[in-house]
Amino acid sequence: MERSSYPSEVVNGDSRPRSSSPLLTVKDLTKTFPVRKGVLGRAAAVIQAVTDVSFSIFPGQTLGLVGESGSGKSTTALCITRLLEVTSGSIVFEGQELADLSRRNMRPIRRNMQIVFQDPYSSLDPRMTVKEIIAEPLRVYGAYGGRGQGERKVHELLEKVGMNASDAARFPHEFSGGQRQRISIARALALEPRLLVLDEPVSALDVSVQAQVTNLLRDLQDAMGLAYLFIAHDLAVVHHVSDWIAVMYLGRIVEYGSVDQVFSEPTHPYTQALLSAIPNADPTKADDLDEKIILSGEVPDPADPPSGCRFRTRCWKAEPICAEVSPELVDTLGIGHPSACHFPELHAGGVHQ
Amino acid sequence: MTRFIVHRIAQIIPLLILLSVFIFTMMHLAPGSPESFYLTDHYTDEQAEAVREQLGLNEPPVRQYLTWLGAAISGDFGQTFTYGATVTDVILARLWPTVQLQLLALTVSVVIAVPAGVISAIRRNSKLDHSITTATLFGLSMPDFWFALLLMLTFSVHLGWLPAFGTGSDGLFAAPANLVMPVAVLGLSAVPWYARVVRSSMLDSLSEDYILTAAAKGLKPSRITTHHALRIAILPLVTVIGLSMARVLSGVIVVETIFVWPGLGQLAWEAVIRQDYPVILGLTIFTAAFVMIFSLIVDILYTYIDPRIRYV
Repeated sequence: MERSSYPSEVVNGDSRPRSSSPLLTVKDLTKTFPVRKGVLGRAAAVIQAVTDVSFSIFPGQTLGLVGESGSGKSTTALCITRLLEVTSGSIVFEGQELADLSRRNMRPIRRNMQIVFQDPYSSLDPRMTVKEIIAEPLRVYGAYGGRGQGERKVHELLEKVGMNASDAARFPHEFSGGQRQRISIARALALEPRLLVLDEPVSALDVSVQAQVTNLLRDLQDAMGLAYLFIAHDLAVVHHVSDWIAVMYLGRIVEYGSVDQVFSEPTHPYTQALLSAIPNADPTKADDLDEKIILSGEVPDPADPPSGCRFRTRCWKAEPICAEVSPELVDTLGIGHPSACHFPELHAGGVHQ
Repeated sequence: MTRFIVHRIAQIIPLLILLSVFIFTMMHLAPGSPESFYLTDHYTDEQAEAVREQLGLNEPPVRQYLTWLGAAISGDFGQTFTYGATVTDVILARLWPTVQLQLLALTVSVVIAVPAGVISAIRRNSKLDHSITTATLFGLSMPDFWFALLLMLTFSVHLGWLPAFGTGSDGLFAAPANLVMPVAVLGLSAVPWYARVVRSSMLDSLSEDYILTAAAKGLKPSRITTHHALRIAILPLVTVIGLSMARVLSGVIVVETIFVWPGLGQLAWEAVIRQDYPVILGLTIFTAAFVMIFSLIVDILYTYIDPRIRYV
């Protein structure tokens, strides 16, 4: 797949040619949750789940959003689909600002923007047959048509995701996790959306099934021109499906670029650590083992994030300035993609453990 | 499924026999004896003996029980001591007033409890939720008999709006004015239980991902609540209603006695006072069979409410 366009007019001033205008542009998205304590339920603290996140997604392309659990990936997904209220920032989808849209006015938008959740077991209503699950969005938007027409649509959708039309009469609990995720995808595709938000769609599946589902997603993308926001914590999966990658740490994007840029020229120490942790199946490159960066410590409490750079408490390169100034997401090295680090380097350098 | 139903029904029979042994023993161990109901204050031993013979009480208890059991298995629960009719006829005559009362009470409690629980869950931790919780707690703490007497005092004695007792009708249906207070007491007493169950099961189902899925599909919040959250959340309520049927008779004894309602509860009370052994036995077996069959029906209902449940 060609990766010609740079997605981030909002990230820096890079002015390479773009193939088209973005389908989705997120700018300075911030989501905080109050932590209530005591009998009266007063807001005792604020968790910054997502802070100043900006990115763009172009039609027919995939942005992979990577990070550890608790990094704010899923919160980002829920904010973009407006299943959570946005604290501040802007979400422009097909030229329309969604961040302050009322729930009612959001409903017509959902036709073009659907979401698939991580857990294939709890994301399907156990009381509904597969047919009812897939038909419901069609009915909501008056696209179901007559009985014969509607059933045909459901059967086509099932076949599109590699299931049988005869599965329509069965209930979700009769299927395996992979099959259930296919049902979720069929449900999400029912309205022929332009953007699919995939919130860890394969994380709950067996590895062999993961490959089937990611391949299915790629095929569907090619066939239907879908754009994906693909959220995952598994870099190998993201590498396989994405055109662009944004790496998140504790609610912020720390590095952002095309797949090739991020995988071959990572400049943020966190990205470098993540990449070095990917197991290498090639024994002739065994020397890579010596280069693994093992991060020490835990992800800090998001209710009380470190000052300055949020990664500094686990970073081997941290200097006093890291505690004082939060690094901007800029292309300091001039290599074509930005990272949020005061000391970006093409190679990890420093102390390895 | 058929196998499951047959299996469950087969379990009912030995349970009922065991229960009848227990009740029979309890009755005969209880102080006093039934014949005193027939005798004046000054009776001779011969008179007492004659009554005992007439009632079949002079036989050894074991033989009495076996005679009763033999007849009961063929559907004959014998003659009552004090009502001048067969046990079956007496129970059937008293059945309808109680069923009427219970059905209305159940309707009232479900109609109030389900919306209350749902609203509590949706507006969790709001003032409305706290008000409902407080009202619920108040209802839980209020004994039935006390609530019944307060109602009677207010609406019958002071205001004179509602009749204090009886069904107010000789026909099939009790007079609406007479139904109000007994139905209110029975119905409202169940509301706190039901509302709490609905609230907590709604909170569970509202936190499931498929609620988010439904929102992502573009459904209106009201439809998400009724079609996705409530349909699963109703299952625990059905369980609790099934279990509370076991309390039906005990609850109805108090209410029917206070409101002089000619139903099974009043019959049970009278039969115990008069030591009418056949009625006590018959009524106990009848109630127990009802509770067991009702719980079987509830189990079968589960499969319709939640398709994940299957019996083999």
